[in-house]
Amino acid sequence: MDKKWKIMAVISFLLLGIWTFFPLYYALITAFKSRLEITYWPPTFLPKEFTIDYWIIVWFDRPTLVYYRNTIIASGLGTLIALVLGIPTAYTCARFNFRNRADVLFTILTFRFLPPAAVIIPLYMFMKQTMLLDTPWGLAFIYAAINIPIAVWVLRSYILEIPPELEESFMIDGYSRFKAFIKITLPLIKPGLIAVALLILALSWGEFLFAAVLTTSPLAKTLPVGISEYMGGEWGYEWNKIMATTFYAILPLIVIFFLIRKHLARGLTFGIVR
Amino acid sequence: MKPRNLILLTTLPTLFYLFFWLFYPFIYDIYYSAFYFTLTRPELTRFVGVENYIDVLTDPNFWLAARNTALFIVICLPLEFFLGLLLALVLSSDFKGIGILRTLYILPVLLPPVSVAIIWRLMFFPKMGAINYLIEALFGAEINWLAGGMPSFIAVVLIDVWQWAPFVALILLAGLLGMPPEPIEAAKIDGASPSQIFFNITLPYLRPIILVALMLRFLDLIKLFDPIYAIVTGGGSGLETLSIFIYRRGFKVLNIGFGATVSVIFWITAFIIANLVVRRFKEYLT
Repeated sequence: MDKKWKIMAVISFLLLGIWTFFPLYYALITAFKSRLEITYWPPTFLPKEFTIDYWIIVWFDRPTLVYYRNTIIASGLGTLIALVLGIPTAYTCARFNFRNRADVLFTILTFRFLPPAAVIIPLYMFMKQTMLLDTPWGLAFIYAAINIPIAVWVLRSYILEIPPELEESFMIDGYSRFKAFIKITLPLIKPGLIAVALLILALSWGEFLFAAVLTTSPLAKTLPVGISEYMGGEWGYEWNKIMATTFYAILPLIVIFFLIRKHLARGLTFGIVR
Repeated sequence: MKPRNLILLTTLPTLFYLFFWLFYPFIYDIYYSAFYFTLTRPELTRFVGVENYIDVLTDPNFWLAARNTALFIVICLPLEFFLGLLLALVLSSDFKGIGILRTLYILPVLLPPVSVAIIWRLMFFPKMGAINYLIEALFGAEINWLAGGMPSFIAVVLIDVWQWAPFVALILLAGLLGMPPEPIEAAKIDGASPSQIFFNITLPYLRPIILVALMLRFLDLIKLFDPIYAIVTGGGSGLETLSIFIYRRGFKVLNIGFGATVSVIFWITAFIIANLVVRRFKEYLT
């Protein structure tokens, strides 16, 4: 019986792998193809003339390092604000049963379905008055706002899974609620916290519409805006450049994910829970 | 600290922040929805009352966009759920190197949606892309994915599922990894089969997390934008969603009054729908 399930798991792994990696593979090889070879029919699945020209061109074509810096400020600060505001809200909304809790949670949630196009013009005017327009700092505030609903709701669902008795027994020993949260609950929801932080970081990292409208000078543009510069210009879609820029853009995220992968694992706190 | 003060201290700053950054612009929408106001001819600005609302609600394209939005949600949400759950389950297994596999299988979430849309646009491209090549080799037929209609609809669904099923998977995976192992071990000793363990222990444990993940996807699908924009550039092919509709009529044409009106209608509709959905699952969610 167990063997049958293992085989099914392996098959799922393989099928999901093909589904996930084929587009990524195709994107990667496209970045190494010449402009002409991309238009070949039938398409080539291994570049005939392997070239790294476009990787070099796109790097020096524009201030890539400045784009990195802007993206790091906008999404890093945005994620930080979202978590600093979101974690306490998630905690009290999980642990206390107060009268307006459902309303508070629902109000927070409603901000997630606001389409960017609906708020972008007022935000543009506001940022123009406050000097935040055309800076990554302004984007950071917006990224925090649009991702707070994710932080609150997802973190709350993880905190709910941890029995409150654990904290209470710790508090009976004379520790404050804050200390109990830091010492008991936080380590237990660590995989969840890591997952949420990563999600919010990635969502802000790749955000396009706000970034495209609210930044115009190269000193403030983010990486996704940089990618879009190779779309529909006088050269049409410059596929290889788009793909090379994309991989540059996500490289830091992959490195971060790779470095924290150990924390996205089963905690070592088993046995505490019941 | 008194619970009352703690609750106020932890919820008010968050609410205030959201109101400041997102609700305050929305008040602008309400205000401008009562005006004829275009950025190209600002001198023609005048108060028109509910005229914009009548214009929007009698525009057949608005209703088409509403229908399309609903269709995308109904098709994408279950696909993303099942694929995400399957992915989370296989990624929750323990063996050497699983950490790297988790990184790799979650990669689509890390990509900027702009890039994802372009990657797929290239693969769908007629007489150039890999997908059409494979379909032609296997079935001898040629499909124009980028010309609107059913093929474009399918293309958009595929793109959205490809990028966001891993989003569901990541949230569920973190839930699975935080799950206490004792109940499962006890059930195994009692001779429960893997499917019994899944349906009687794992699934009930995950239920609140599943609902949150689905709800977040539901809310994001309401404002579905990027893949449609990339597949049928500009979105003018019978595939418009409400988000694209707002973008094209309000934002791109710079008809602020009309766009603001669509935004207000959109928000109120989404508010009512989300309210109904959330209230339905109230016992699990709040």
